[in-house]
Amino acid sequence: MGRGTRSDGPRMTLQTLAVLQAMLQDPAGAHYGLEISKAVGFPTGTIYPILARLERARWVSSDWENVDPSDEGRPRRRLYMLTGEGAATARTELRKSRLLLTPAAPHPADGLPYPDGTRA
Amino acid sequence: MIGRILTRRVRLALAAQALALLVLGFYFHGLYTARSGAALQARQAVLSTRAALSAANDQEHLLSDRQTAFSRTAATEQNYVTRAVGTACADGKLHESISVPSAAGPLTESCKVTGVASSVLPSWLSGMLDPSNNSMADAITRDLLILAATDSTVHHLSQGLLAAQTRIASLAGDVQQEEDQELAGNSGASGALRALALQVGGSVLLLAAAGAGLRRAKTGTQVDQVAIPGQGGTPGPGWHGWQPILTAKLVSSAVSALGDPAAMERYREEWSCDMAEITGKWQQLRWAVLLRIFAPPGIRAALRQPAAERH
Repeated sequence: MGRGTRSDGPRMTLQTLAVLQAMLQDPAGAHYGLEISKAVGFPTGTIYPILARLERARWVSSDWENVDPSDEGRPRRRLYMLTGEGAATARTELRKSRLLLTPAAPHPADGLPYPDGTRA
Repeated sequence: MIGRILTRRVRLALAAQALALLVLGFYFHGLYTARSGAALQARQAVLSTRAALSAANDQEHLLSDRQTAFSRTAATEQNYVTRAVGTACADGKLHESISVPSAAGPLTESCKVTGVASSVLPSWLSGMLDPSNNSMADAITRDLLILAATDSTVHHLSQGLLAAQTRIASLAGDVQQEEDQELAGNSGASGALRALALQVGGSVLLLAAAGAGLRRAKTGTQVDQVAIPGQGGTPGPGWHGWQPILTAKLVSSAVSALGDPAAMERYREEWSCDMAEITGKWQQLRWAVLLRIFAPPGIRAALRQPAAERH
């Protein structure tokens, strides 16, 4: 296992989590690199390696846009979609990261007196 | 054929621009060195003049203190003389013929000329005073001499103080002028350094682009031609400025750096599409620089990882 990698999935860096969160805004939709880059605010140079890792781990699948470049006046886009497994795992990872980053909620018993009448 | 000639022309233009930038770089380096030296000299002059100014200020304070002390002494001596002469008048020991409306008046006048006072006053006083009262004449003479000496010292101190103040004003002007020179030198040097950094950076980028083009031309390798939006993949009349050319070169370089032919084919088209959506030559160049730096290593690392098996 390499530095910061997991044997069962891609590295969960903050950038990776941001990309997953952006894609989970529309889990069934197709997204392209520049769109994701604009959504998360990172340069595309950092987005493509993340997408490549996610694709390698089969959390994301990609395919060419089904348009004619001469009609559109631009090259075809490469569209990225979350797989079913990818969407479920991404949600779990995001939930875990929120738990790690959010301070613990106070216990309901905090502030109540002890049985002997004293308080913390 | 036209495409090949234009491509060669573009390469030659890039190499010429790089050469020109390097020459400018040498020029700005010389300028920076000269401005830095001038700024350093001005700094040393400022420090030296400030030290002189500080010494002049100290001297002025010393002279001012001494002048105050001697003025106080002169006032005291004047008071003694006035009282002694007043006493002598009241006792009738001064000659009736000498009118002394204000005892201090003639004595003060005589004391203003130091040399005259020391030589003339004893005889002048002996003429004014009763010859039988020698002790009174001696006392007044001594007081007058002290007063004259004190007045002279105060006069000299005033002159010294005036000279010190003039020197302070002159040194303060010098400090201001030298600080201005230092500031001009510093700003000139930093401007030259910025220009130098830009020149060298631009030269390196252009040389790299020209070198890569020439290498490919020599080895006959197929260049990864990335189309500039709306202008096609071949250089032509639509290519305005050097930024689109450099952008295309950077993207081509990023594609080539991927190594894997399938990945190169895929990302060439994908990044061409991205570039078509970005507006502005500078924005495209920025995007291409970041892409060239970050994307190839990350994608190569991802491609080296074993693919997950399908469930």
